Amino acid sequence: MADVALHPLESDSPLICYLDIKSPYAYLAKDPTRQLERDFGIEVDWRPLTLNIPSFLGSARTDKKGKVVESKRSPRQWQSVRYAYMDAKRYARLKDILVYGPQKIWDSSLAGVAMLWTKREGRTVLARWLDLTYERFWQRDLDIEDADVVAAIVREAGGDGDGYLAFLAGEGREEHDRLQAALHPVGVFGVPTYVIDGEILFGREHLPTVRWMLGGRDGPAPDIAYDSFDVAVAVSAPAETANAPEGRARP
Amino acid sequence: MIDFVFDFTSVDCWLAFGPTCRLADELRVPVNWLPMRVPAKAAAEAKENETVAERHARVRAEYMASENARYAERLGVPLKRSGAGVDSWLAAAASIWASEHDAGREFVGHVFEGFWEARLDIENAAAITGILEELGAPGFDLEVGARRLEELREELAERGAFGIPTYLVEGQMFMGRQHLPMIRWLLTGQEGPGPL
Repeated sequence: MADVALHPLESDSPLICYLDIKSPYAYLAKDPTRQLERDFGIEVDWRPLTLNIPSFLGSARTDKKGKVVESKRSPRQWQSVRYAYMDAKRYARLKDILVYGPQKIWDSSLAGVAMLWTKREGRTVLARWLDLTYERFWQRDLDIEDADVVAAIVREAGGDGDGYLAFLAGEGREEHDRLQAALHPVGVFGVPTYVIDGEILFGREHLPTVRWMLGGRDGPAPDIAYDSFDVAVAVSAPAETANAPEGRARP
Repeated sequence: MIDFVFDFTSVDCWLAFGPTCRLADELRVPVNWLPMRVPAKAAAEAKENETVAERHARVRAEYMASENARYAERLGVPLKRSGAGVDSWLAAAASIWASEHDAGREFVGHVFEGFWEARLDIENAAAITGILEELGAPGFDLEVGARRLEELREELAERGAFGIPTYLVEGQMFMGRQHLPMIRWLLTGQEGPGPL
């Protein structure tokens, strides 16, 4: 398999999609992006982008009731964060996707390495792993900082958990870290990010454009929009109301 | 009613203006034009010893500039200047005056277009009052305008607005024109699955 860190904007697939498990916006983008695979008969090249959230939105920690117990955020950063989670939750609610605000900023790099590993194990394993990991993490039911927990999800997805742990201890961690270091220099900074024909598109609001590009650019180019999406999503109970989480706003 | 919070110096607001008008026309819903001053920042340049936060902000800003240029071309709207360093106070206050004289949309459209075509100095009182007079809103009083703008700033802060463009619709706040499908869905009875 090609070393993605050497070619962050290149792929054998027509579409690259960068995701981070700890981003609710990436979670919302997963299924409509997968729908593109079915609609166009393509295979998306899924890749991890492990966000360094404190570098652009500060950091904070809450207790189980959502009360802030530690904060290194400006008022503006809090506004952005609160808006981002409120926004993500209202869209999630439409699809019965459960999104609880995280109680801290997670290091999602172990999950990022797992994404690289499950890719090697085949598309079915990767897809199942993404579904399980996103759903449980956003239900606050998955410790993505525990390698054994991540390995267990790899196994549940039909993959080789021990293989993941070995990959994490060597080649996988190195590849992940080199990929992260390669992203800013080529202009990739957030999730979800789509790369198509070398063009970078940040945010799921570009899905109409991605669809237009994959479809041969017929007709006028669309504007940005949170497009309609009426495919059933395999998820759980309705979302709860917000408490203070971390996220990505588009102010 | 669509409450549209904007600043004339924001590219995002300018790009949102046309699609917002089209949605309002289609649904026959009035737009409340609500100026809020959010100074545009100049583009950052790469520097030695750049921190991760600085690099992230720069890469993001570079991307957004590129994205705005791409969509401006598609939407057929001019982007012939930067909004950085321009004080939108006068035009913002005048837009409130225009709205009070039933000329809000026309004024906002004139000023956006003139500014981004780089033929209108929005800090020039004569130019701004000239547009108001053309649109049937003479007698702009700067003191009243300043007071109205401050009152609006306080009102918008209370309603939670902090960035632009912001839509306040049906008790919800949306930042960015990408939400227009959701706003359409809300204003048309929430039928169907809704946007994602």
